[in-house]
Amino acid sequence: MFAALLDIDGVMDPRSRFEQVYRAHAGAVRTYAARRSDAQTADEVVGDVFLVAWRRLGDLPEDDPLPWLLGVARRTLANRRRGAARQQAVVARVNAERIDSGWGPPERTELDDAVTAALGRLGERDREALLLVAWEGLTPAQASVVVGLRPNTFSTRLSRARRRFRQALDDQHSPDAQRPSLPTTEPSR
Amino acid sequence: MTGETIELIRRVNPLPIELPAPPIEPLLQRLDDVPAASRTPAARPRRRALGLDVVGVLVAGAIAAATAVVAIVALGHEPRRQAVAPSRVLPAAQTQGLTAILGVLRRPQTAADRNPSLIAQLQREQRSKYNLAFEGRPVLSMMRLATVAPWGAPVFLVPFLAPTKQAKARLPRKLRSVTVPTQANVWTFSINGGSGGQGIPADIEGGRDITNMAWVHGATRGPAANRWVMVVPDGVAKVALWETTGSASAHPRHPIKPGSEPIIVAVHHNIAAFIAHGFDGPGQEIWYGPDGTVVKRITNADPCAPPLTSCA
Repeated sequence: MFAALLDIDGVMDPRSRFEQVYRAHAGAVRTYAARRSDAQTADEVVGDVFLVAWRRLGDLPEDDPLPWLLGVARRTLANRRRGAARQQAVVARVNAERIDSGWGPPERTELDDAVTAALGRLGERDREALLLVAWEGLTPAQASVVVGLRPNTFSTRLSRARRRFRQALDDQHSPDAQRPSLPTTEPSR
Repeated sequence: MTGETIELIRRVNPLPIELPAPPIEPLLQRLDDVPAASRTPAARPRRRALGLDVVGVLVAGAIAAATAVVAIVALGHEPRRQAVAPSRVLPAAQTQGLTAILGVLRRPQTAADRNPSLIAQLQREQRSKYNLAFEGRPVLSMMRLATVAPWGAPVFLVPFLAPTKQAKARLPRKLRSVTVPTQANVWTFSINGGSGGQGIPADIEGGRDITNMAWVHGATRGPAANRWVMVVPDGVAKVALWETTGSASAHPRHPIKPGSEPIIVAVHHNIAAFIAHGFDGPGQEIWYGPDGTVVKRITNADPCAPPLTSCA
């Protein structure tokens, strides 16, 4: 235990590196988890993720550890959902449990509701791909690390998810429905 | 178009800003019980070489098994049973008795608490099997800078976990009967000024966790001999110490030097540090609370010996 706390070579010791990574990314991990669960679960996930990071500090990428950490958070959340037998759709949860933090969007338009509903109709994989890019602000290459795919494979999945999302959004606004002002439709690939 | 889709989804983000990180301190305490991996990245599985790996493992295993059988037959020994890992108790649980009475250990750790030279010193000492067996392991996540002593040196408190049976088993046989702490205790360290302690909660509450900074160095003279550090529990703001006669058994009714004046010391973060020339340790103590009221009277020989006449 003790040798792990200090560096013998004069390089940054594991403890310092761990603390540095924590201070840089714990907020992002917490936010990621809070967007997909409740606040208490999010805090527990942060603890679990960084305990894994401590145990596997050697595996943690030096240059960009966030996708790796989010990948652990993703699996941790999945395990928790399985354990609790609460397989709920992300967006349904978001709708049901609005985070009472005052940080939510200030105004919610009809289009926002349509987007939320369209996300809800997507499959889990498609939705996840879109949310990693849109909500977490990851590049496709970073998001591919989170879900454990090759970058090219993830890019394909992301393109397909975009296409399906646009389709789901358009389907909501059939001619007999009240049509909100939608932006131009993304061309399918 | 791609950007538009992402922007649409971004608008429905229920948490559009990043939450602050939770406090790291509770996690750091948990880490002390979890070994960190080496900094070397773990080797990736080499799928193409898997077949060779499996063959290598099987061959090595067969050789090891054959060697063991030959050794058992030839030497008549039974194979040694695999050691059972001891049940691990989290440091936070082990040190609960200390944190319950020492507020300085309950506050969050800061960068100032983690003094590099003290950590380096503790690391050096932990390489010794004797230190591990006699002193146990320091809990670095709980080390605290408590105060600055009158001689100008910072004073740190460092909890130690009790030595494990495994650490003691590594000692030479003749040393294994030496008494070592059986519960978490706290050490005081004064940088370049000595250290001492091994104070368990009962010592601290009994007014016995007081250290002369010369003891550790084996010195009896010099500046360190006049430097004292005492650990007291929460609620004590000031202590009054009367010098002992030096032998409570020889002077059972008079544990303090006749005519000795009390040394009055203010307490900062559970530490009373003071310089006293020729002081030989306290024979009696009175502890005062923040409002000046007496919170405890302690005598190591006779509870009714002077100057504590009020207890008669």
